[in-house]
Amino acid sequence: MKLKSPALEKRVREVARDEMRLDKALWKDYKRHRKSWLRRKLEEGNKLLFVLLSLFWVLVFARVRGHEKETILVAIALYATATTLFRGLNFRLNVVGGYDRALFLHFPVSDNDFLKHEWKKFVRSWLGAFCVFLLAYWIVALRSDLVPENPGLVLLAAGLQTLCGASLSMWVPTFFPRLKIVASAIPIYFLTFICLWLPAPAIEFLWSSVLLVPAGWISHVFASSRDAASRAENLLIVPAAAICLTLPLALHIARKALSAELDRQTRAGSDQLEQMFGGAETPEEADTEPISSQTPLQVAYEHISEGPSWEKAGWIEKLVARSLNAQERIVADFMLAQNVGDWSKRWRTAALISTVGVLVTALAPLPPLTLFLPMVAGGLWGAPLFGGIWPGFTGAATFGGVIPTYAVFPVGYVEISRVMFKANIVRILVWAPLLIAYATVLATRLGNGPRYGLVEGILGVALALALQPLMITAHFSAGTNDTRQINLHTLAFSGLAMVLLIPTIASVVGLFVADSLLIKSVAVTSVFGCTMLAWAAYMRLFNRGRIDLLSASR
Amino acid sequence: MQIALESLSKRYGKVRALDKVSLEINPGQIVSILGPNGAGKTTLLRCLSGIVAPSSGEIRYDGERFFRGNMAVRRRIAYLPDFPIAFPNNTVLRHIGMVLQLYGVGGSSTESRVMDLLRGFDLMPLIETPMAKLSRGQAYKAALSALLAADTELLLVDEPFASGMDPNGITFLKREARNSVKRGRTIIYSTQILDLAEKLSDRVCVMDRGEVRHYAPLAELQAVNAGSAGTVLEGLFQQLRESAQ
Repeated sequence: MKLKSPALEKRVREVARDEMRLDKALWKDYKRHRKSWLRRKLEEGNKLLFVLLSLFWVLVFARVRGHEKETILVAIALYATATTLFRGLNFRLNVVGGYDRALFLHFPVSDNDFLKHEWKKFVRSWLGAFCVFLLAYWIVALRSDLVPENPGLVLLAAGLQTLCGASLSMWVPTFFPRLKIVASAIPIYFLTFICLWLPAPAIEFLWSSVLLVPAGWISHVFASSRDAASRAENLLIVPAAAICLTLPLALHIARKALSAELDRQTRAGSDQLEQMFGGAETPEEADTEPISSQTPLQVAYEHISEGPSWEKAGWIEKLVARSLNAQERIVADFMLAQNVGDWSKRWRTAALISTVGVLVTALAPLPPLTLFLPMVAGGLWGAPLFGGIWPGFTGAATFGGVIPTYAVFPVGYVEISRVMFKANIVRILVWAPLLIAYATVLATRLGNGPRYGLVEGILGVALALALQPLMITAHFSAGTNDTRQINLHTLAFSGLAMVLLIPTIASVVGLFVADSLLIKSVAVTSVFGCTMLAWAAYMRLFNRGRIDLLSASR
Repeated sequence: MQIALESLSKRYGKVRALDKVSLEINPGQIVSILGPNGAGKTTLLRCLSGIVAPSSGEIRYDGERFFRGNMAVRRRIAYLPDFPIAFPNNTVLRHIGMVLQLYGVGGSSTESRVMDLLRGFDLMPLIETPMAKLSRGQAYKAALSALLAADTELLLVDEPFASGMDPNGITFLKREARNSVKRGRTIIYSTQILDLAEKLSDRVCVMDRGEVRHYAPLAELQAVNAGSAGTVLEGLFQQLRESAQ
């Protein structure tokens, strides 16, 4: 399936440009609307993303010195894991319910052709990833004593990493179709970035942790390639290669599953498509009878003004409701799209995960690294560590960009932030006992003593609370064009953000590294101070109308 | 609500979507904004609603400079974009109730007002239907009903007559707009349908390439355009096109 007519485009462009050149105003208008050559080239085929990724690895090159090869190899393993999850889940999303699917449904394109088109895109994206891996492993080789004279090893590592990632990115959505990108890939991307600034003990921990994922096996094999003593680690290449070899099978199974799903959509699932993309006619419309103006009232004011019941929802919702006044409840109803009651359910699941985790920690002879996983999973599920899920921020596509839902209603930055902050404080505090209990048991099991676990657990809760203003700001930022709107105000904010980033990262690191309780307290306060400052600065930017509530359309 | 725009400009990169737009709009009027595609109509409405930030110039409501953070003023303004924005799982009734709560509108008179709007837009059988299940025209009518029920001092509507609404909905909207204006409300809408604009405007604002070319009552424009064939606005558009060439 060809999606371009380059010859025709070229001819038309030539004729049109010749004609427009004759008219000064028209020519000026054309030049005004046309993007610059550099921008056009960068935007073709996500080249910009590729350049940014390459720049990231150059930054890594500059940052990592001498023998700190583990840092960079950890970053590669994390990046490969995140990109595997992202590409796999994004591929499935695009095929069964994405923009491409919606678009091609309106054209005479068969499901097979559509799928082929998506496969090509998928393969191209992994070719880009291969180049990034190649660059990254070269950096490791150059910056350490790792075989810079043997380009074959670098090539092999990048190739294995790519094939292994491509294979897994087919298996993951086949077996876990409900996995969310935001909950899986994004935190790992975030960790990839911040790992460059982590202290040596944290890197050591991550260096062992990445053995849990196949991308980490390849990094370990690469690190020990010249070390005869690490023969056992070299053996990790066997399972990694085995995963690579499953690529044809993974493609076959994924193709079969996706074809079946597309077929279901096209043949029998017209209702599903209507739901996904919206239809011109709905059964309700067809059945609609004209209503006489004499129809008696069927709706009372109580029905119209009826909001969700906080009192009838779970116990966490009741606690949050007590902290909100009447106006704040209206804002909360709106920001939750009137779906109150999810928080208590999430807490129960988090409690279950944590209980299982505590029992496993106390009783099962598992490797220490795996014992952290239920704690992380419970936190991500039960507490709003990243600010929580608020449908009021959801973007709605209109011509010219995506407008966040709250933007077209009279709800402001401060009102929304206040509600989010209050709700998130309550949710984090009710999650705190779970975390602290878990941390205490975990620390005891790892031989650090219960007191250590208790302190670290409390610090974790304090950090989650201190970061909330930043998370709230990030929710607002996602729906604006703040990164593309270049003016004095946005530049000043960016400068301030950079300045605040340094003490924030230093404080977070200090929080876990320092021994003194006083320093730890100062670090938490400093994090909170920095995030509050960022929130306040963004409020000024937002309220004074220095940015548009319009993010770029996809 | 007295509206004043002073040298309002908005740039998107190299493109100047609004170029020193200055307007005065008195309360109790219907103002239609016309212009070729890309003239800046939607950007103007977005600036007025606070969604888009002007690059320079200012907007004044009742003499007070407007910023997005001024919630008291924002509660007096309602904006309906070209695609209505609503939570997909909310029913029509829930959506209307939510919007009324956000605008702080309540009381028993609201009930009959909502009923009138539901009847007028033929939405009664759909009150328990989720917004995601509605057709585009129905969703637009539901969103419009909510904003009309909120009865704000200023209603900004982007392309209401290209929204997929049925003829009955359009007729009802015109009647409601006239009634609102009688109560002192102001309605500003963009459209490409010249016939409708001629019938439903107290003042017409014609834009081209981000600039206001004409802003006057229809009668004045008739005098400007006397002698040309077709309707007044058709003549104006012809002139615009010729001047551009």
